[in-house]
Amino acid sequence: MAFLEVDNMSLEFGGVKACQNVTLKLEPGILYGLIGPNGAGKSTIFNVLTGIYPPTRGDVKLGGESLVGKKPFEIAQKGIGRTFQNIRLFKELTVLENVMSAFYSSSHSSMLDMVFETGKFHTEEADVRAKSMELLKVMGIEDLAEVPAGGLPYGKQRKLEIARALGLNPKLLLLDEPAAGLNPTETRELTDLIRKIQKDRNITVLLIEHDMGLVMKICEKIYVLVQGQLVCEGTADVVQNDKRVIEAYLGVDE
Amino acid sequence: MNDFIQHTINGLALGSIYALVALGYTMVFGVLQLINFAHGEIFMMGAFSGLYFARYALPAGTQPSIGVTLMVVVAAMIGSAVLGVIIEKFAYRPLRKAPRINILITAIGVSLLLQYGGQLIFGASPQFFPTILPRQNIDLGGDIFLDTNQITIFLLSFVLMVILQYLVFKTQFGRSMRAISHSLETANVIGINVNKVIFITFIIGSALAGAAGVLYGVAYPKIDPLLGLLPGLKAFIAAVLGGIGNITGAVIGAVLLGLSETYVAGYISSTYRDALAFVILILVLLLRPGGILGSKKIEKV
Amino acid sequence: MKNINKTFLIIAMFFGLAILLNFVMGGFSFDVASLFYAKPTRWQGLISPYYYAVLVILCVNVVLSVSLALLNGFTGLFTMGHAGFMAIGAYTSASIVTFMLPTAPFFIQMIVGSLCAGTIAALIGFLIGVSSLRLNGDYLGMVTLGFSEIIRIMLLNIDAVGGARGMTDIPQYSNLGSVLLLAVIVILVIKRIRDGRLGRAMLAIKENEMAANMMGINPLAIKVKAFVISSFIAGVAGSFFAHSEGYLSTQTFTFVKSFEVIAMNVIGGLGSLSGAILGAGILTVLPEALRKVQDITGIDLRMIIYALTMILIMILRPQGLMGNREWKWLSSK
Repeated sequence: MAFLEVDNMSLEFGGVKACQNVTLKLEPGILYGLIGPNGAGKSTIFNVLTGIYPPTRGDVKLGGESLVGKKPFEIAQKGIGRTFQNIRLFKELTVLENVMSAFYSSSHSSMLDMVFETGKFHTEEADVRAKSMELLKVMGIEDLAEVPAGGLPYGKQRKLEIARALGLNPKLLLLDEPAAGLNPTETRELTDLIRKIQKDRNITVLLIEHDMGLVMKICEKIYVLVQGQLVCEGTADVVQNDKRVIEAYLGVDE
Repeated sequence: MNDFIQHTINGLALGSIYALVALGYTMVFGVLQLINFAHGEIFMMGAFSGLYFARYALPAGTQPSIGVTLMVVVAAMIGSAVLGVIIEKFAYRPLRKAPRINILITAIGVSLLLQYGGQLIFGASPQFFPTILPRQNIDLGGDIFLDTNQITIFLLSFVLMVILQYLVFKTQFGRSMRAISHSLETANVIGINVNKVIFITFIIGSALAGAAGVLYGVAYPKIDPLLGLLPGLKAFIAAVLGGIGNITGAVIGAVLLGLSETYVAGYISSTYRDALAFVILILVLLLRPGGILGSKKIEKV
Repeated sequence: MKNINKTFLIIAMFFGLAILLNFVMGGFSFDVASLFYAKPTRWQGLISPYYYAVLVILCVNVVLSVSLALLNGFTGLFTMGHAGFMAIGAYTSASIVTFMLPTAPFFIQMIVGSLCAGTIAALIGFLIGVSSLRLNGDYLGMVTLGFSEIIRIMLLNIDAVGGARGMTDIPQYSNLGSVLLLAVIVILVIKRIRDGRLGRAMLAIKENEMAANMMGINPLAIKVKAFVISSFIAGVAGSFFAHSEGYLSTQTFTFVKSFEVIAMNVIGGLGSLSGAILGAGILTVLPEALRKVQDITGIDLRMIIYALTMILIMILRPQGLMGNREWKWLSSK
């Protein structure tokens, strides 16, 4: 059985079919890509996976357990981390605090610990701080730790979002257009980083991206979504030569 | 049964006054998304404008009559409209782009300013509103009375609401106002002069509150600078009850509130009269935040 | 941490000095207890009754303002019913002490009274929070305003607590020493909550509720927690207020009082703890300082200038006096 299973999932909004019979089977430790023209419903799939929209039909299972009906924060606690297409950082918190906030559910100091600044509080706080700094180092933005997140340049904000999502210690990481708005150098850098993180931590990554170069270079398996339906899945070679995929992209800006 | 009819008449009169005030709340909320907490004070200033007009502008010995009443109402409407416009221009307009909570605090500040300014100018102790209307009780039989005050309240608020309906639904201004309440950005894009529309909205809303102030003074002839506080809050609740931003809703909400307050005061206890409005507010917001007319898409302002 | 210790040091020095003066002025007899509770005679030897009264109210207002900052400033919940929780605390404590513990030592009265006040306020805060925290923005503000007014009108209709006449003869055990201590403790508690994981979660929710959700934070649970903590503190503030005034009227707890506390937050700077304290200071001291103006002009312009100041600060400095900054001893670094 796959690690994450999306089984014949459909999502409708008042008759509009956003996703139809989508089936995904993600295995642990593999980097997946999800591509498709604008409006194909890629982000919508992320929103279903993270519990923002309950699917109209079908099921979503993580490690055999159904996620349908679970609240978004419960799903996050089960190990699905994500980033957003339009960055959603906690702008007035510092870069470090942004990452630290992701450790909320995995830490335990109570209100009394906080108020009396007990040993437990200090140990845990120092631990969370160190782990968060570690993540910032991985993303190469540790020197900006004390800067308010809203003041970061765009590219660094994208990196921070990834660092923050990693703070959840996710088994599955969903990246929604991580390279959008980045210049080619930044994109190359980020591409390498994503692959490195995925290998080092041995997590599953599913990424949505319009930059085909990036996708073809690092994704081990690619799903193609057109108008809410999966039309093709396979390695870069398979996808690039698939007739339906070429058709779907023909005349589209990519 | 006769009691019930009498309470209904009284409740409708109270509701009509609330309605005139609630309209201003709802219109301003429509265009600015602002709970104009100073609106109750505009209503209060209407009552005082009327009082001073009747006391000093009318020749001594003027006998109460319908004509006099109309003159006083018009004077109060002008007074309140001028005040509303001044508040809009000097307190709210500089904050057009500020966070909403700032505008809200400013509204509270303006409200305090008018309360204490009123105490300074008019004195803190209550004054008697002059008799401007020949008062007569009409016996409808079976101990049910309808007095001339109530008839005036009904007629005048009806006429004002008809005029408002015309302005909102039949004129260019009304179309612009509805466009803004639908979407400020779109209204800007299609070239509506937003500031002008907001300006006129304040004139109309404040004028209605001014008229309500006089009617209130006629019905409860002891007025003081703090009188706007509670009726203002209740009119606001009426607007929420009807679906804030919705003109028809404001009137329905106000009439319902006026009626239920009078019934509670008549059948249960007058001490719980004021609590009722807040209970309604909570129930509406928790169960149906859009208000009575909120879900259906009727003319949203 | 170091800064906090410095604060403690200053407070300790303050009390040390007060104890010393108290000792000297009390004819070299030790009565330290009177610094914290019982009739404020020994305090009034140090400062005039007028300044004494202003300082007491200042401390109560700081507590209220700081507890509201937890909701308004840190969690982003706009509420307009803080006066209601204060009222619950004030009347709970006054009733318990007057009817159940009339002869207990002041110390016991203070502990039991304020804890019961806080607990009952927190309990009601919990119920209100659970039912209304689905709403946000202005709607939450309106619902809390409604609840607060209903609480007030219900109190008004309870004859045992004086009804419309107000409640009199409440034991006056809390004095400047105790309210000052309370204010310092509350500031520290709120600061530490803000700087811990709970505070980060609150700020995250305020900034972006959706993203907070995706970080495994349960927004509703955190909001309810903030609501309960805040109403607990407001209740305790009410208790100390009741026992320093000795008299309670429901007129004190109208929505105007709630607005006043909101104004303290906004004028100081929403989201800044220092701002909440500064705002409380300004809105308490300003009307008093303006009494002097009244002496000169002969007419009461006090509240007018007060209202104008509120409007002007909002127009000229919309982010509040402190903006997002903190005084050094309250900053999280």
